[in-house]
Amino acid sequence: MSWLDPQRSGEPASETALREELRSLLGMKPRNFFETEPTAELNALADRLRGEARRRNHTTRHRSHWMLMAAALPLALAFGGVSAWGIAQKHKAEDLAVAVHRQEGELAKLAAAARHAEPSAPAQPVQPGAMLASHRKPARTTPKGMELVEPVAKPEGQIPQDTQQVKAH
Amino acid sequence: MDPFSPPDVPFGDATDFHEIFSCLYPRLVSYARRYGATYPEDIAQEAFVILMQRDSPVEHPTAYLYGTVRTLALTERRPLKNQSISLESVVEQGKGPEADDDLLSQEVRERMKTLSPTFRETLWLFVVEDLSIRQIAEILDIPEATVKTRIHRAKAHLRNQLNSSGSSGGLHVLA
Repeated sequence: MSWLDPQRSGEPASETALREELRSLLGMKPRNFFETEPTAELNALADRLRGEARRRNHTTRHRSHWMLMAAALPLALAFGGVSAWGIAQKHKAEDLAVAVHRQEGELAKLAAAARHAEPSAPAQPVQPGAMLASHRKPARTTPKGMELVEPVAKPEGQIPQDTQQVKAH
Repeated sequence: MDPFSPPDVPFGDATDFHEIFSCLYPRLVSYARRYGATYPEDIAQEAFVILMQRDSPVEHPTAYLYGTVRTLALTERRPLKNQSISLESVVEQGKGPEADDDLLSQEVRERMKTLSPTFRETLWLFVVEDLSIRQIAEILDIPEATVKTRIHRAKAHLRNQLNSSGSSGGLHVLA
């Protein structure tokens, strides 16, 4: 019964002295709590209470435990479902990110290959006047009517291909 | 007895339990009566059952019993729609101080009455119920420093009271 007696349950000596001082101030006599002897009635009551505690332990507590579990089950299922969906979405996003990264790499490789394949001609700056001149007609080099024409003899026995012969009536 | 015994037998064997019960039960009934409980015996018994029902052991079983009795007694007396009613007013309205056990003389009771209800409650638990400061802190759900402060203020109040009564022809001599 150490927990019944504060002096034996680790109470500091200063507290004990303070208690004695207060008792003397109040004019109290020392009191012995252990002078009460167990009677048959008290013993029977104690046994009844102990039995009641056991009975409650075996009934109410378990029922409340199961009820708590049953109440928590839908919440746990919902939480598990949301978690699984979230994990699936995360995996999907990671796969997409990997695919996009791979495509970007391939594009970069293609761009580098195309850059190497082009001739290495330095780009000339384009003059605006040159652009206009290229659109004009080329200047005539010989005067009109003085073009060089070479006469070609017509073959007699040959029927020209671009004419059509008809019979005379 | 080991306070951390299994929950099925929190008080050891039957003999130990009978001894502890016969010691604590009258004190708890008296304590519930101080709070003006209508059925102090029921409250004390319920406190024992609640303690024995626990799965996990408590550090201070005595303090736990006192705290449970206090809570049950206040709950019984407290109107449901007026939760802010103070302990002091409950104690004042109840049969408490007049229903103290016979071991206290009328003189002691008169001196206790001069204290404020807050100090009286703490002093009662410390001096009359023989509980430690740590246990009182657990019962009243306040820090240990607050318990010490209340006790020292109560002590100063009692000293002043005795000094004034001594200077006006009182009989008491301070230690």
